[in-house]
Amino acid sequence: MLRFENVIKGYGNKKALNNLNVSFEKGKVYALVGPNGSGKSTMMKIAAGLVKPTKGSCTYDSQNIGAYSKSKIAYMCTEPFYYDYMRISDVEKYYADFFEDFNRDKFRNLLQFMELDASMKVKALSSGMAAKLKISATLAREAEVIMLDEPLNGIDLLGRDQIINAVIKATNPGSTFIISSHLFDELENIVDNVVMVKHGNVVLEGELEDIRAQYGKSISDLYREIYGSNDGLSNEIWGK
Amino acid sequence: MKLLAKHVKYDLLKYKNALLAVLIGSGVIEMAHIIAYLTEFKTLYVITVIILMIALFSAFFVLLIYSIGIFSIDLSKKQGYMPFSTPTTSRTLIGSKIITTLIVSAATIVLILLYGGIDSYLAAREAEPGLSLGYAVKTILDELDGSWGYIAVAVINLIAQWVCNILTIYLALALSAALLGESKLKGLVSFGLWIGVNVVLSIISVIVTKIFGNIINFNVDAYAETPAEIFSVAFGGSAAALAIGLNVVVAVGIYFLTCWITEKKLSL
Repeated sequence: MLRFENVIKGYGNKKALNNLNVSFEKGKVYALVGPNGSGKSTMMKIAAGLVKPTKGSCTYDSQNIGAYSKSKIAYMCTEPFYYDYMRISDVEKYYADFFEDFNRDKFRNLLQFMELDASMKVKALSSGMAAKLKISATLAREAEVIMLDEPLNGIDLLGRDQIINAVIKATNPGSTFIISSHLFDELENIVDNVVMVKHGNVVLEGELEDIRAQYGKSISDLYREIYGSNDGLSNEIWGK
Repeated sequence: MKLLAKHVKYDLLKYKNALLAVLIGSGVIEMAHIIAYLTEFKTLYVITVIILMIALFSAFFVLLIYSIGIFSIDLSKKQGYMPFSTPTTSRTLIGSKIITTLIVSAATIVLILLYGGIDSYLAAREAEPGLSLGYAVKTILDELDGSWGYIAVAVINLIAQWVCNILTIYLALALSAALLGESKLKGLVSFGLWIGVNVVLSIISVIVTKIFGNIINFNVDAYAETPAEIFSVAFGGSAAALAIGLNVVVAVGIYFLTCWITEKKLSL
């Protein structure tokens, strides 16, 4: 299980995460929802070991984030990060060299599905193609936790369908998926849990069906209520 | 070890173009030098040897600066996500950087020695036209007889100092990245920290030398007739052994400190 306990992460005077407490259980698909600057990416980067919390702890299987957790957690960040000299085939070799759970056949199938050629240079890829490459490399890892940070950003409509289909095919009872996105409407059909983050803290979390039943609204409507106004709070949500 | 070797492989790949440029560039100049020798084109002969030595020595330092730049990029740009997201400890990542820098430096030194050797032989043949390569090598080895201890100690001390200097720079970069994140002052602060660390190390070096230099009477004679005698003679009594020991201890200390900062405090 991936667990955040009392995590605070500050950047200068700003707190990206403010006493965050949340757990992600095995085998579930989570939507991590929130506007820009709410702390979603910071959460994922802490779990991936790329960012260190200022206070609190993030653990995986009761162990601090480190080499062990990195072998179990696959993370796809929003920014391009492959070495400029690489071709797509070099990316495949890199992942195969460092991640035992990387499935090369799966990667090649995903490349074919995404209409990418292994001989293409990484720096020559458009933003949409680069995003598809990142997703292919991440989903080709048969990791225990797969985190996708804004996988649908900058992708055209047909590309989004390809990615969602790829995610659906990749989900399995053994893996935990954490997907952050603004385009929650498109994810609603593939996730079973939702975690809503605002100002570095969790404002709502739970199983999708339970939340819909409790509030009598779709998640998208709840999203608008929570984040939509300056007050951003519905008395119903906060139990007043 | 396997992970370390893999990281070294990918770190070396970053130098591919730079090393190719050095190899091809120096190769072309050396060819021009040899052609100038064979055709007795004196002006070109002299110019090419000067250019070659300047180019190779410059390449040595440029590649060092390049290695520091690569480490800095890994700490501050998104490309750093590649090595730091692998299931590897900071000890392995930084160890890989050091090993790669040493390999690249060694490659440049080998080129300098190779071309320097060829050009020296050609120059010697100018004075003695019948001089054979085998005889020239034997003459050099005969001259070095009895100096192997000094050479070994000097080389090991140089490598220890080199590693220590590189690690000091890495420590300064890691510390400023951990403290300042993406601040634009990071470069300046790295430089200041590097100077600060060097001042502290110099003070420690003076204190240790004063303490241990007075306790143990070192014999500066590192005479050894053959390479096999190096370790029994050279390290039995040499002031350079203290310098090597100090550099090794400092390098190990800085290495672990840099790894700790990178592992526990650094956010990319």
